[in-house]
Amino acid sequence: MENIVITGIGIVSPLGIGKEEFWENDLSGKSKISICEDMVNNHMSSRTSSKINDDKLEKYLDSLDEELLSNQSRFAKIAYIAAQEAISDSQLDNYYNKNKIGVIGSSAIGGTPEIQKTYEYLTNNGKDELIYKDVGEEFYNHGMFNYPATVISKHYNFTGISTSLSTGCTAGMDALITGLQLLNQNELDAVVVGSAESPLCTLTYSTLNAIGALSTWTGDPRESSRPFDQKRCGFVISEASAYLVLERETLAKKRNAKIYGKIKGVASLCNAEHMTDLKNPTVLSEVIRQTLAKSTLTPEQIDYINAHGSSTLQNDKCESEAINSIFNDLTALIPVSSTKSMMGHPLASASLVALISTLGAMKHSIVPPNVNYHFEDPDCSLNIVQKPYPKEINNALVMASGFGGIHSACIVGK
Amino acid sequence: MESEKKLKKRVVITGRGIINPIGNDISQFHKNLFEFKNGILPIDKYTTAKNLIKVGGVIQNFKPTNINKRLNRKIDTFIRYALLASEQAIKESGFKNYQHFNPYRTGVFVGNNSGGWDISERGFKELYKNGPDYVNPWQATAWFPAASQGYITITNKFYGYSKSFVADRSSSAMSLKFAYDSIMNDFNDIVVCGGTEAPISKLSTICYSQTNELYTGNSTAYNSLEDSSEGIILGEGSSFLIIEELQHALNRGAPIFGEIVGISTNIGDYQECINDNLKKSNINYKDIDVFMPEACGVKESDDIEKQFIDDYILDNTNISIPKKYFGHLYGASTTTDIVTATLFLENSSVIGNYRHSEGIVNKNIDNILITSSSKNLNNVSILLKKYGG
Repeated sequence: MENIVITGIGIVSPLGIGKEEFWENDLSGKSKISICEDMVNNHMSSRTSSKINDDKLEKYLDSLDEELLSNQSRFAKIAYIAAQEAISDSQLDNYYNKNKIGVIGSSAIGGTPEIQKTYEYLTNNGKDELIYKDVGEEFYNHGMFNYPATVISKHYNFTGISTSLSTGCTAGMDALITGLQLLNQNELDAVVVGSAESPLCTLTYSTLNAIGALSTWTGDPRESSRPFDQKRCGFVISEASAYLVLERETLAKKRNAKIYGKIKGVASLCNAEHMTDLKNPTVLSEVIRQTLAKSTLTPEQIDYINAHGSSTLQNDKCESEAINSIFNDLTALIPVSSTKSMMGHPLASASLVALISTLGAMKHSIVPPNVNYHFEDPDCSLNIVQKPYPKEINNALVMASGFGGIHSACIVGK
Repeated sequence: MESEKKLKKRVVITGRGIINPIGNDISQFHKNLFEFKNGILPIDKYTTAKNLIKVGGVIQNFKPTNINKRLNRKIDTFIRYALLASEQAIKESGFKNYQHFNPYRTGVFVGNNSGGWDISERGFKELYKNGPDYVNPWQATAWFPAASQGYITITNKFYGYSKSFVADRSSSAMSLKFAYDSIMNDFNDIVVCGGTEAPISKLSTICYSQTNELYTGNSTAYNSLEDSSEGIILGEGSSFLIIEELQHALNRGAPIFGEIVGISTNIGDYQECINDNLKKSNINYKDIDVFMPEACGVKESDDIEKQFIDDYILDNTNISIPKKYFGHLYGASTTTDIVTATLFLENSSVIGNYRHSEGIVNKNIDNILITSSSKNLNNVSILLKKYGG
C-alpha cells in the first residue's frame, strides 16, 4: 500500500471560511454557538445552533458562477466553495490527466432546508393538499446528495469517478476512506474528497429534538456544546463543508506539492446495536485497534486524539471507554479534544472538520482545546484539553461515529 | 507481493433477493419476467389527478411479515424493501451457517437515491398541521439514505466495513463497485450489497418530475431506447446480492451464480467507461453474449446508447432491458439488472427486447455486460461472467 498524503484543504464552517481563519479560531478556542431563533420561536427544549457567518459567506457566493449554483441548496454552495479552496490550494488540476482525478462527496441529509421551503410553497405552508407545481429542477437537486460532487467534477472537467456517500455523521471520513482505496488501487492519481452539510431548518430541529439528541443547555449559549463535561446535555446542530485533496506521496513529491499530512491508517466498522444509541464500546475499540494496526504505530506514538465528542451522554461515555480500552495508562497522557465544543455538530462534515483541525494542530504545534469542560465526569476519564497549549504532534487519531451505528477513524501523521 | 496477492482475488455472487413490481422473491420474479408480465400500473396509492406522474412500477402484495411490528412502525418503505430483499439473499447464500463465518468481515453496501420520502412527507404534515412537538421520533433515523444499511447490520449483527452510496440512477452500481473493492482490498470477505428505492409517493413523484425526464402519460408501456420513448417510468423496489471472495465461497461450498470480473466508472464518456472495463476484464466485444444497457428512456441518454450499440454491439449479442417490465428503480436499478443477469446465466436463456432479438432466446451465455448511466453521466460498466472454476 502506497503512502497517501493530503495536499489541499478547503473549509467553510462557523469557525471560519478558509483554513487559515478556521485554524485561528479553532486553535484559540472560540465558541461560535449562538441562540437559534427558529428553535426559540417554536418553544423547543433546545435553543442553540452554530451557523456559518452569512455576511462572509455572501461575499464568497457573489463570486461564484451564477449558472452553476444559482437557486441550488446551501449544502451544494458550501461544498463548491470548500472544494474550490482545496483544489486551488493543491494546484493539482493542471498536473494530472483529468480522467485520473475523481471526486467523492458526502452528506447526511442534503438539502433538507430547501426541501422544506419547497414543501411550504407546494402546500401553502401546509394548509393545502400537496399537488404538482413547477418548482424547477433544483428541487430534485436538493434531494440528490451527489449533486455537489457532479458539479465539482464537471466544473473542473475531472472525469474520474464522481460519487457520494450518505453514511450520516461518519460520511466525511468515509469519503476519505473511499478515496484512499481508489488511490491505493491506482484507479486515480488524485481525489477530491469531502462533505457538505447545511441542515439548519425546523424539520431537522424537530426530529432531533424528538429523540432528545439536541443540547438542552439553558445557560450561556456558547457553553451549550460541552463534550465529556459532566453537565453535557446533547449536541448542538451545526453546518459546514470540508474538502481535501489526496494524492499518492510519490506523485505529490514529484510535483513538489505542499503536503499537510499523511494518512497512516483507517478503519470503519458497524456496531450493529442501535441506530442512535451507543452503549457498548466493543466495536469502537476494535475500530481504534484496527486503525492503529494499519498505521503500524504503537499507542505510545499517538500524540493527540480529536474525538467524535458529540456532547451527548452516551457517545462521550462510550468513546471514553473505547479510548481507555486501547490506550490504557497512556490515556491520562494523550490530549483529547472535540472540535464540536466550539462549533457544534455539522453531521457528515464533522469528521473532516475534525481532521482539518488536527492538520492545523500538527502544522502549528498547538493542541486545540475542548472548550466548556468545567465539570469532570468519572464516566469520561480522559485527558481533556481545557485550553490550547503548544505540543509537537507527529501522529493523531481522528474519530467519528454516526446514526446507523457506523464508527470510522483515521490516523494522520506528519 | 501483497499487491500481487490482492490482484489474484476474485469476487463471485452467492445469493440474491428481490422485491420488485413483478415479483417479491427470486422465483416469482423469474417466472413473471419470462412470461413478460408488466408490473407498470396506474398509481393507486394516492390520487394522481393533480400530479404529473400517473403510472409506475408499483410493488404488489407486499407483506412485511418478517419484520416485527415494533420495527415496522419505525421505518420507511425503502428500508422495508431492503430488509426483505437482503434477507432473501442472505438465506439463499447460506453464509450465516458457515462455521468460520466472521461478522467483522461481513459488510453491507447499499445504493439509494432519495431516502425515506414516505416518512419525510409524514414529518412535514406533522410539522405544519400540529407543530414541531408532533414530529415523529423515527423521522431522524428513517429518512436518511444510509438507514437501510444501518437496519440491515443491526438486524443481522454484521459488524464489517459497510457504506451507502448516492449517485442518482447509478447508486446501486456505485455500491456494487465499492463493495467489490472492499473485498479486493481485504476489508471484507462477504458483502450484502444492493439497492433500494421507494419513490412512489406524492412528494417524491413531484420532486422527480421536476427533472422533466419522467413519463407523464397514462400508458403502461415503457418504451426506453425506442424512438417513441417519452421518458422514464419510475419504479420502486429493492434487490440485493451476496458477493463473496471466491476462495471463501469455495471453502464453504456456496452456490455461485456468477463472477464479477470487472467494474469501471467515470463521469462523461460512456463508451470510454465500457472500453476501460473490457480492457481490464480482458474481453472483446465479440465475447459479449448479453448487453444490458441503462436504457432509461431519456432521449439524450438513449441516443448515446443507441449510437454505442450501432457502433460496437455485434449481432451475436442479445440486448436485454428488463426495466421495460417494472420501471426504472433508480438507486436499485443496476443490482436488479445483475440479479436478472444471474438468472440468464443460470438458465442459459435471455429475454431479448431490443433490436433483432425479441423474446426468449436460449443460448450458452458466458459474459454479460451491464451499464448504468446517471442524469449527470456518472457511468458504471460491470462485466459479469459465468463462473467456470
